[in-house]
Amino acid sequence: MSTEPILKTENVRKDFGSIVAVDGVSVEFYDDEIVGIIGPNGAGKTTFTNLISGALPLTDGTIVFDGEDISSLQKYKRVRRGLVRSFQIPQIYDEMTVFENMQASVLSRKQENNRLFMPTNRDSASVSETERLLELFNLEAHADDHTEHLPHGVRKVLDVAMSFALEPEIMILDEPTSGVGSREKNAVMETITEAAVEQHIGLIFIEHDMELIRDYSDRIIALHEGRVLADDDVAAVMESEEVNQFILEGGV
Amino acid sequence: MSTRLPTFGNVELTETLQDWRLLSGIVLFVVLALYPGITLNAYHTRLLTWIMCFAIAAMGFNIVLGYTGLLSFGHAAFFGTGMYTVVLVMGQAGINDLVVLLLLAMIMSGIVGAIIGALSVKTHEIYFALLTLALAQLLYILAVRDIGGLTRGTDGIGVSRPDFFGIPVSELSAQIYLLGFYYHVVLVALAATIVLLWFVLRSPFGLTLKMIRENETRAEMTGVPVLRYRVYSMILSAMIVGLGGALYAVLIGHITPEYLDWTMSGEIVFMALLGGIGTFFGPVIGAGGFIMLQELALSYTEYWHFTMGLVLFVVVLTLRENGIWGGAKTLVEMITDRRGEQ
Repeated sequence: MSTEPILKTENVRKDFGSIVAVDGVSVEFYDDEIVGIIGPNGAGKTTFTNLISGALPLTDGTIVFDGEDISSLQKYKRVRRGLVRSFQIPQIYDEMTVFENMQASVLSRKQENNRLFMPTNRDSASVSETERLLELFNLEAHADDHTEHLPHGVRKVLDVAMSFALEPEIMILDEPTSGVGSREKNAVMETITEAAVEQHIGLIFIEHDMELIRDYSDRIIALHEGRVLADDDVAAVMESEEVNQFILEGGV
Repeated sequence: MSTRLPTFGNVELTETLQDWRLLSGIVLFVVLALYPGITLNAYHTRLLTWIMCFAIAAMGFNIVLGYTGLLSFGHAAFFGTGMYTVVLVMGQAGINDLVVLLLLAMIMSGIVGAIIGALSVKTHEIYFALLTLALAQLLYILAVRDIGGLTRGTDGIGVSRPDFFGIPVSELSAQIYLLGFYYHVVLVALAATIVLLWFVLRSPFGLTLKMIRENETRAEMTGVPVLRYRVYSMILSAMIVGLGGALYAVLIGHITPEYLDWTMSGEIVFMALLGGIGTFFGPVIGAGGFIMLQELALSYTEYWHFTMGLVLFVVVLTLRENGIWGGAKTLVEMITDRRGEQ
């Protein structure tokens, strides 16, 4: 395991009025591990990821990324530094083809949004990279389809693939397989994790499916009522009494 | 196939299509360029010049509405800024060269676009529309009240004919000036606008605007500073609209504050909607349709506003963002498809 954490939260807290959604979470993430986040509904999992990505402002605490305090950094700047997320409900561009969706990520990663006169379909560098990524995620058959007509599972994979195209240091996946057919779930996870390991991308994934958590995590963080209940390797967390009491038996 | 925007995909097909488009574009340009010389019809030439000025403005407007997905009701500010820049620079600074005047008009409109954009891009939809409307009305009031003593209020100011690269074209007779010179300037400006936007809107920059239109959250989470790109799109849009305004000011020879008024913004929105905001050429067709319809309706009935409203209602209801141009394209596709099947 790397010695320095790529991402570190210190006493991160988020209040919504009188409700404390995230209550002093201090955890570390490394760029060569896959961390599963589990917890019952309302445990603060999604709020926690929204704090990391900058979608919500912190009430208190600090977030350190690659040695720098990014607690109040704008969202797009976090993305440019390599802190990237995907979405539980796919956030993709309708009225654009799958190819364009993907190429949009590729061009944005290269920060070429300001290039004015090269038509995107003639830009061979980003076109070939887009093709390669579509192939990697088995999306090449859909390349010319408009995304609004795609089945949910494909939209979901595209959403993850678009985040992946940003070549992040660490990627947060909010339920990457929700809505994906049970047979394809493993294939999707397999693709993501293999690519992540190969390219040294740290993964944080929120998941309700305990089998996926068990199969793909190196480490598990269990959240309960906004606090860290357990943060350890898979076996230790799964056997923890508290985790069993609050989460596993809660029927998530 | 969607009529929204030409999609990528099979590169060969796209290239053939582009060649075909390029060819018909060149033919159309040549026909239009020869038109006044052959027909010597001053009325039609003037009407065409008028249409082309607004075609430029409507295309510029559609960068913001069709590509970035923001409905601005303040584009009269940019159109009027273009017009007033020409007349004020001519009158106050004595600069008389058309090309310099046009460039200055574009720069000034771009600056106004940057200011109005920066003040309004944080808002959305109806709020954006109202904020741009309100900011544009401020300029209208400034011009009407003659603040600074420059605009002469509602009386307006006359525009004298400019020169062209030191050639004293202003000394030509009115007929020859229009048929042999000014019409062609506007035609070249429109062609240049089309070529420029054709490339810009297909570039990574254009794709970035579409990303923002389709999903702001995702665009931001892809590392795009969404607000900044909205301002960029306002600036580009304002510059093109300002060019249209400047050309129009020289055509009509007299300008009044009404070109800064919200009804002017409404007309530009109308043109874009009529032609199809989801298409590239729609606004050009919309400007032509709007102005010809207006001329036609005016000559038959005093209820021309009603007629125009009815037409827009039907077009928007049946063709939505595709407008007349998108509808025509779909029709042609249907016919060719059917032929293909037989």
